[in-house]
Amino acid sequence: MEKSNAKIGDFKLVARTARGRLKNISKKPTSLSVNRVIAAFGGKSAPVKAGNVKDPITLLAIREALVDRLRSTGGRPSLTGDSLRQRVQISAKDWKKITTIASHFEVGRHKPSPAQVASILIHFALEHASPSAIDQLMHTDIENQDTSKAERQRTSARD
Amino acid sequence: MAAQTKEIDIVAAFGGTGDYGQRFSVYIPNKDQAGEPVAQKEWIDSALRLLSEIGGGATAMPPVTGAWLNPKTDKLIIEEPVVVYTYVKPDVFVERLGELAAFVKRMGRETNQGSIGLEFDGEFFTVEDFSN
Repeated sequence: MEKSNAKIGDFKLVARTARGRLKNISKKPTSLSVNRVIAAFGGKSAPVKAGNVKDPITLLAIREALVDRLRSTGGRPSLTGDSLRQRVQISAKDWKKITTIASHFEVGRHKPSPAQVASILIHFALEHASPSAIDQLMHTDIENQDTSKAERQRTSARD
Repeated sequence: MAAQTKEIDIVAAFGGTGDYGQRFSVYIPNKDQAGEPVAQKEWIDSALRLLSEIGGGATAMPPVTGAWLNPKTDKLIIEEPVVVYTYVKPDVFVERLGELAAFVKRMGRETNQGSIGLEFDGEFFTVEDFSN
């Protein structure tokens, strides 16, 4: 068992980049809505974006996100963006996985912390849950609850 | 030390024009849904022509190996599609969207496809209904 862990630890994704240091401010034409274009063709959207790098939950995708978001202001690099520090309970098993994933990365000379990797993973998961999908799920759930409540009431009335 | 972010106008630096918007790509098949060869070259030429009119120019990538699982026969079709793409000029693209959709549907019908692959702004989608 230890041997296989050691094997997993043999590789590391190391990113040394100056990406993000230059910001292109060239004017671009207004973006067209992807959904409108797909509708114009009567097309069916695929569940993932084209290209592996954007495909969520690959080490490459996590590294890309870390490279984009980790910035140093002198000390240990932190994640950029409008992040809020929250306390989240995570199972020991999940934390072990996250720690293992984090151990495979280096961004510049820094190793991202497991908490920073966890933040990226949560972002990936939520990116694929649109507000409308959540809304729809909530309604389906409420409808299901109502149906089972009515069913229970009917059963107890019969009894 | 904090890394400073520098702002540059890359298009202006090259004296270029920034009229180009999102990338639009069409996958041109070389086999039909039964695995029989189709006249890929003429469709590549037509796509290059049409996309050049929409984006001012177009690029055909070298053939790549792809696979499509025919849901009706469960047969795996291994093919070498050619991806033709352009960075669209938004106004022209919107104006000619109907013509582009008609081209894709005609290609689907005339080359007996089960589905045609397309990409817009990194989003992959398929067209399976080739009726006008």
